Amino acid sequence: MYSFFFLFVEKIPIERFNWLKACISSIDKRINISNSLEVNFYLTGDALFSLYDLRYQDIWKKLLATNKVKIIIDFWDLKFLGLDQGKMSILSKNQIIFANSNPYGFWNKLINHISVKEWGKDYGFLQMRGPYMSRTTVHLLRALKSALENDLSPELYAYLDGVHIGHDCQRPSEFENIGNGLKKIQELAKKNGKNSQMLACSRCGTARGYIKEEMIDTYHQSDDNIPSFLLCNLNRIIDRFENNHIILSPSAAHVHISPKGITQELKKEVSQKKNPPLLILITHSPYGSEWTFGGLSFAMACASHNIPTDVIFIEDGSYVLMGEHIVHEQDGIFNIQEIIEATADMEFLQYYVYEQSLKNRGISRPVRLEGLKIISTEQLTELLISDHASSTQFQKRIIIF
Amino acid sequence: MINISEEKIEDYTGLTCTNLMIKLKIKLKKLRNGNRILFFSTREQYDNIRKPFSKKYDFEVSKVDHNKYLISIEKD
Repeated sequence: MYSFFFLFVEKIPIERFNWLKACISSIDKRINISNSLEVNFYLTGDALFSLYDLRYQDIWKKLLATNKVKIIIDFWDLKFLGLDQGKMSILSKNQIIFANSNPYGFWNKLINHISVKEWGKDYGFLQMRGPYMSRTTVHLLRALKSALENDLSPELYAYLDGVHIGHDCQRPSEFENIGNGLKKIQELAKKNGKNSQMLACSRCGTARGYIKEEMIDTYHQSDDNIPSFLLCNLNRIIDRFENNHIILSPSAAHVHISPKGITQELKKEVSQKKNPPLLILITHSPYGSEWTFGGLSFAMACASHNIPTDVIFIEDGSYVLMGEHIVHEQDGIFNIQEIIEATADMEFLQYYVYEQSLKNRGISRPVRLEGLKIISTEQLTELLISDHASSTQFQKRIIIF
Repeated sequence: MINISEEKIEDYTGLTCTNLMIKLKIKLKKLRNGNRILFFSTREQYDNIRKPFSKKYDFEVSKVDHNKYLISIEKD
């Protein structure tokens, strides 16, 4: 049984839908046994526009034609965005589910559907965007709150611009106060006897001025942050990724593979395994933002912790092979191509670039990088479902950078 | 004890563990066989790089101060 749970909180690029459709179709053909594939799209926030935007309609129709695809809609956000339920004509009624009309219904449904508790008592969320500029922070609060409602311990891992969410004394005039929202989560967790770890990457925090000291403790409380929002080395965050609990992000997926006839004992044993494999999709150009370097650093750190990590440069991430980068010392930045070539020998790290993304951009003669393989749709599909760890049951985390 | 001649010793104590790992890997890839890189690190950095780099390279360390280590990695 292959179960995919895609969570899309932000706008989904059409190109992403196209390769997803191709991969799902490929998986469906391979498996070719009814009820052995289940693909769930959890849509909220700006991702909901894809259900109405004409440019997406053919792709949705083809996806839904498999009968194995379901769309779970955040009904609270659908109404918030003024989207009319009755106008979703392309959707077959038995393939669409409207999560309860309250802010947490969608997130509760996701937790129950993934069976989060079977994977551990914690529920993690990786946040890489800051408050107010991105509404994903509002969804983050809902996800964490619903973890508590479901008797789970919420964990927050703040990375890149995500470290800004823990800034103290936020006083937005028109928006939901994210800092206060995090404090309320902490209070509620304490009241319920749950942990609520909130860890932020110290490299990202130092770059953004949250750490003034030269030396800090392993877990550092910055005067600029809300209490218990702690800055730490990325490795301490990756320690949490060694565990098998469910971790999501605003653009992410959880893949669950379990063979038929698996016993409860074996299911329990495998769900407690360490170091579930990770697939990182790098979808941004190499230097235009911190996404690519952030994704690579994250991947390297995971691989150093013996977490099998595949990195795929896809969509705009494929720009990495457009030409040879000439980065001088005064640029003050690592050469991304050099990083790939120098780290490709790491035992738990593999690099790939998606051929179709190169073709879409007219990159007909990509730069050859040692250790970076160009992959077809078939090979991309294989990476989505491949099992690094076990021949029985496993989960794979997919995070889009 | 690490022997030091006229070589330049880099100070990497300000780098994060992941950035130090990237820097060392890039430098070692460009380094000729028989040559080494010499640098200062913190205890945390040393703990982080010791295992991955001592497998493949000649790895030496000397403690020079509280939370300061001199490290030599030679490519043979």
